[in-house]
Amino acid sequence: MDRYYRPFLTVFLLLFVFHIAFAQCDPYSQQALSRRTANYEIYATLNDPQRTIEASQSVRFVNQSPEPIRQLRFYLYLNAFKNTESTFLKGASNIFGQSFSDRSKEEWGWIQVEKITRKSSTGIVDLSANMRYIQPDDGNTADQTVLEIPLEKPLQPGETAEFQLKWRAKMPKTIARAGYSQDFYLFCHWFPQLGVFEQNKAGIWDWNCHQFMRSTEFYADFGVYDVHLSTDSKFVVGATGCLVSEKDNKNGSITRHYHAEDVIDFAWSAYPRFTVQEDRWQDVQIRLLIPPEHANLGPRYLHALKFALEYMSQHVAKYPYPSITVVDPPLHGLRSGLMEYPMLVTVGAFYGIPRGIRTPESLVVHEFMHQYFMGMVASNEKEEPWLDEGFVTYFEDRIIDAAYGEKNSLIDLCGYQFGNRELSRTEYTAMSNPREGTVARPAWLFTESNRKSLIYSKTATSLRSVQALIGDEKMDKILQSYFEKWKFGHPRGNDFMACLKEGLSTLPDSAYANQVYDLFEKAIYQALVLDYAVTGIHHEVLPAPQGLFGDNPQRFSYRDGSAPGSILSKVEVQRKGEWIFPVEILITFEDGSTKTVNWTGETGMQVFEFAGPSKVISAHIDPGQKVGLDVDLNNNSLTLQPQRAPLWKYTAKAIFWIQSLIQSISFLV
Amino acid sequence: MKLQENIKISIKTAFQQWRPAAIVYLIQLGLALTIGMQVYEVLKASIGNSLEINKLLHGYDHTVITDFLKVHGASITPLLGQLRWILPIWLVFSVFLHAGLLNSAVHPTEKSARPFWQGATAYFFPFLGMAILYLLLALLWSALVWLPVFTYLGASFESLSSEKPLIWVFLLAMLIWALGLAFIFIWSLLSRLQRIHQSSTIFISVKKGWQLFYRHKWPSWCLFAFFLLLQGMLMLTYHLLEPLIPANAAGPIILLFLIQQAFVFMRIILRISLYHSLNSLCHKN
Repeated sequence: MDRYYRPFLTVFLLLFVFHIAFAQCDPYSQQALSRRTANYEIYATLNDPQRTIEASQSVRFVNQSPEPIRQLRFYLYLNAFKNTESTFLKGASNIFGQSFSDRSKEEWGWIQVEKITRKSSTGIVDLSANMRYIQPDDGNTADQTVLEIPLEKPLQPGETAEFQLKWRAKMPKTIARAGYSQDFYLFCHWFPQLGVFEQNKAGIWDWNCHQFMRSTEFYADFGVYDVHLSTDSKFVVGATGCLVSEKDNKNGSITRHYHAEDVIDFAWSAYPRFTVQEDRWQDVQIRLLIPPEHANLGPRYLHALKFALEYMSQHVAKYPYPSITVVDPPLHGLRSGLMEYPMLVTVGAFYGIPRGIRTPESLVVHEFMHQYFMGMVASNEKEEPWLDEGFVTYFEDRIIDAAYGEKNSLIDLCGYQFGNRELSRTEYTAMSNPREGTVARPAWLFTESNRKSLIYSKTATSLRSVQALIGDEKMDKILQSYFEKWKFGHPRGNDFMACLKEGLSTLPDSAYANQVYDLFEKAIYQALVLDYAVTGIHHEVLPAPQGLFGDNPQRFSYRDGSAPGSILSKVEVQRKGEWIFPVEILITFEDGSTKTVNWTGETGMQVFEFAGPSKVISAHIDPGQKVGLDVDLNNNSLTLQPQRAPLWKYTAKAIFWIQSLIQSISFLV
Repeated sequence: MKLQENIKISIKTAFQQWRPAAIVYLIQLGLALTIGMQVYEVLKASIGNSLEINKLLHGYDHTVITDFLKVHGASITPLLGQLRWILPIWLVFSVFLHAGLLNSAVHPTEKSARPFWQGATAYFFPFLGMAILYLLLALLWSALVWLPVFTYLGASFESLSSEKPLIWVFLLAMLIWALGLAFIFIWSLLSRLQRIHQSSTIFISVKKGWQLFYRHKWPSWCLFAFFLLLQGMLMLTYHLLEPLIPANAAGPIILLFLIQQAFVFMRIILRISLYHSLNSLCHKN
């Protein structure tokens, strides 16, 4: 009998080994990718009925600066949801359309550090007595989102210190992504986390640890996280990093140990009804946590994610982390959707969303791209949000357009279609006032109405314009060098500008390189409007030469002007916005020949004259539509031989739809 | 008369009475042209000389349309304003036209447009009163269905773990609502036919209409469903056909327009067929 079973056993063992290898997530890298400034080990227990967390946490912090550090500053962002007087909630009647006036006592959240000690050679020093809430941004004394802890002795440059914290937190009913909604949890900005000790714009070394303000996100240092989460065993859990071990506590709870390296944050989510779908891209484990009714979206998320992973490895750099977890919240937890954390992103979708509506794909790619811009190139999301959101939107456009087709990548339904990049451009150009402000501003200075248009869309459109002007390959090189230089670091806007300048300096035409640099700089640091237009094409027939010709009066030849004259075409172009950018203009003549002329745009208006046998029939500024920042591309061209077919087609459609409308509503009477 | 035969005769009669259908069609076309030609003029004056409009030949282009709306959106606003006025005026006028069409249905042997004009002028005011009554009923029915549904949907976003039941509730509500409206529509038609046949008062006609519906409920539902299905199939056919017409030159665009108009005309014919079939069902001469 044995020999009959042997082949089956072998196959079974192979499958088992394959399964183990397939599901593997190895969190331990051969070498540190970052400087690992702030390292955390957290033991947290979730009390589900009470919605509370009890935790002990150790922080190993390395002073990487040349200055001694005299105090620590921790983010305690759950305190933003403690009451309406916090800086986050003060003066607002709702957050992202969510009213919080009817919250019960149990629905508010808070976090309290009960004790903090420092391990030193002489023993353990209790620092709790002097800890205090500070308000470095607005002086609002009711705000408790930043905790300062004076050190008993300064932490010297290069020195490592270990701190032990005991803290408790109460999760709020979901607000600004964090909290619970029934039995769904998203734990983000949930533990005391150090700010970043860095050189500020004035060159002084200090903590960059802002209070939690609306429209701002996160900024922290890289490190290693070892997080032990004890929860009720009913929960399916997803978290930053890899699951290292899982222990059944024999009391209805499970303790899971997650390990993540070279990340700036740790987030996790728990929900009993999650279904898990797993896949791999090379050595990256992809884990989808989806409510059962969204299970059919799994393949769509996976396709988009794997395409993005492949795309980024080809165009910028390979994804270096061992896993990526996607959390698709249930309906009541949708307020936790659409956010990025290291190795964990949250998305949002609806049951039965048609394949022609690719918002699930677009969102998952957007959030995934934050692994690069914010997760690795850890710019300050609060002070310079364009460096992450703008870059992420730019890559989202590129990836989604590449995956699904340029003109129909986002929507392709019932003859109505448009691409991701088109949407980004029009989100900026369709602003009622594109001069509302510069892009390079702190997040808290934007309004709800201009935040996305400027930070996300204008930046993405500006980057796309640069790409179109210098070519895909050159653009990739610039972005690769920016990524390589600043991965696992904290770049500022001028660091990217330096990379851009350096990359452009390799162009053969330095004047052109300066123009491109100038275009991007103006797009980000100024609030100008770019709008070029062809405003007229006119013709004059120049009479044929008439009169006496020649040098010798005896032999003058006489021409009577009856010969056919030449045609003088005048093309009038205008710069309607104040943004000056040199453009090329494609001139097409009646005989089919073309000519390209350049215009600096400095004069505001220019008339180009073309004399010859054939008249100009059309002029097109920036015919390749490289500069998508132009707020009206329709006026960039003018033709004297317009096609009327599109107009009649749309007129016929309009007539038909009006007929159908009035026919349909007449059944009411 | 069997339903099948009823339908056959009704469609045949509707085609024979093409004149009333043509009158309704021409009036609709005239109204649509007043707006449609302005659409043409606005497009021509704003982006008509741009090379970008060539992109519209291949279908919808988001960039062209969005840039157009951003810069020239104000030119479209008056057209929408006109449409806002045209729709209520059309509704009142529809009462007049329906009176004519129903009177034609009551006189199936008359091929000329005379019964149409006679009916339209004779029954306009009584039918206007009935139209207001049934419109109010439709509004009341809509409120009855949608207010609780929207209240439920609004509250459910915070409590349900899945949107699946919401979608099904919404679809179910849509079905119930549509059935209610269909019922009101059939009832209103039977009341009006009753008014033409009996010259009774509005309220007697409404009451008799109800009784007629009750007596012929299944056949009248079947007739309504059949003609509604035909209307739906007609629209579906158009949507399948439209992308096949390239519409990139004068010839195909004229063809597109003619096909569109044929569909519009056919919808009117189907409507008249329904009137005929209900009339012959409930008022056997």
